[in-house]
Amino acid sequence: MFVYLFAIIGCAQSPSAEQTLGRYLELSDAGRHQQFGEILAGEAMDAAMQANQILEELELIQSGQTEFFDLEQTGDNSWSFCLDVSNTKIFDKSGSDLTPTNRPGQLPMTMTLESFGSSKKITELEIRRLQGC
Amino acid sequence: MLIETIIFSCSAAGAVLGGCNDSCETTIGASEVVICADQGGQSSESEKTETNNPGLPWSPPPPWILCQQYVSGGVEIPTFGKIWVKVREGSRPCLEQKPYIPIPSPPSSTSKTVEVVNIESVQEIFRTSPSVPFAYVQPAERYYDEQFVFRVKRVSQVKSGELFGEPVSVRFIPRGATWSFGKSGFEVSHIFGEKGDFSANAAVTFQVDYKPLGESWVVDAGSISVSSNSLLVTALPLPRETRLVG
Repeated sequence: MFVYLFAIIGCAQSPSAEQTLGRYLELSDAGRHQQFGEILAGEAMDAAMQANQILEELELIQSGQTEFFDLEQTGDNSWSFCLDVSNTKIFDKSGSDLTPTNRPGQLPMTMTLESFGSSKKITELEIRRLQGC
Repeated sequence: MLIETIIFSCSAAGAVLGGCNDSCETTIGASEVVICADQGGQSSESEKTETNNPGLPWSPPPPWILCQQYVSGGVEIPTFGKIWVKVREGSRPCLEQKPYIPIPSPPSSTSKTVEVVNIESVQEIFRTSPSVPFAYVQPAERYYDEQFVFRVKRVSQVKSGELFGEPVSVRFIPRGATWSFGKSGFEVSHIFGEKGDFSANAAVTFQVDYKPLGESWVVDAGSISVSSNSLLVTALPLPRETRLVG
């Protein structure tokens, strides 16, 4: 029994960068900021909570899904990717479309993942300037 | 000093809100300088309280609209960028117009609002890089045990442009050169020591100064390294020694 449990624990892998990022976007799109702590920490957490606070204060609603592509590992803990928000819209509570007209649809970004015990969390999420998607 | 391309934290929701635009600032990258200036946006026009003239009948003002103009402030002189301005309907000619939809204000006035309420601001960007430094060698062919003299021109460059009709400039001052065969300097001698065809070029490091919009020069803001043209040289085998026997 002990051996069996040990084998299960030993085989349990922390989620990949792709899974972590995918999970974050899923939670963000759903506005489930209560669960951000599972996958975010540090500056990434602060930025995500700040954006969420703006949405709540202005009673704005996000529809559609954010996606990512071209995920590449660029360092021990860092990855680059393109964030695609072109399929999302922002509405106010009366249903008016307030999606910013000058919003970039695809953003070149970088993320840093750090280990917290057995899990990995996104600690930094930043724009890569002078680079495109 | 090389400024990293990373500039600020963002989030998925922030990107959806349009709050993850590149910040409009000067960036010195690995190979180019980007000067950004912005103009316009929601905050450029403040609402004024109209004073009622006694005795005149009051009529409601025309509704607010969003009026698109060139950044020059009109519709007559086309410019690179366009701007949306919140104005009263009919108060000025517009390239295009659309209804102004007020966005609900947050309970407390904070700077965060600007990120969302910012309807459209116009950014103009001036990007520039140093021209390729000119390198040359004398002679291009020589015995392999002789010196080749490599030179790369040490010339400052000033690149100028306009942002919103105002001049901006970037100055590139050559500060050092490193040759592909390992030596440093704007003029170096080199002996290849073996016969063959060799290519060489110099990586010239430029100090970057820039003059942003409406401000004075910012000196030594960073550095950029640019490779010169490639030079091909031939190191000839030594001539055979002829001995007269007899």
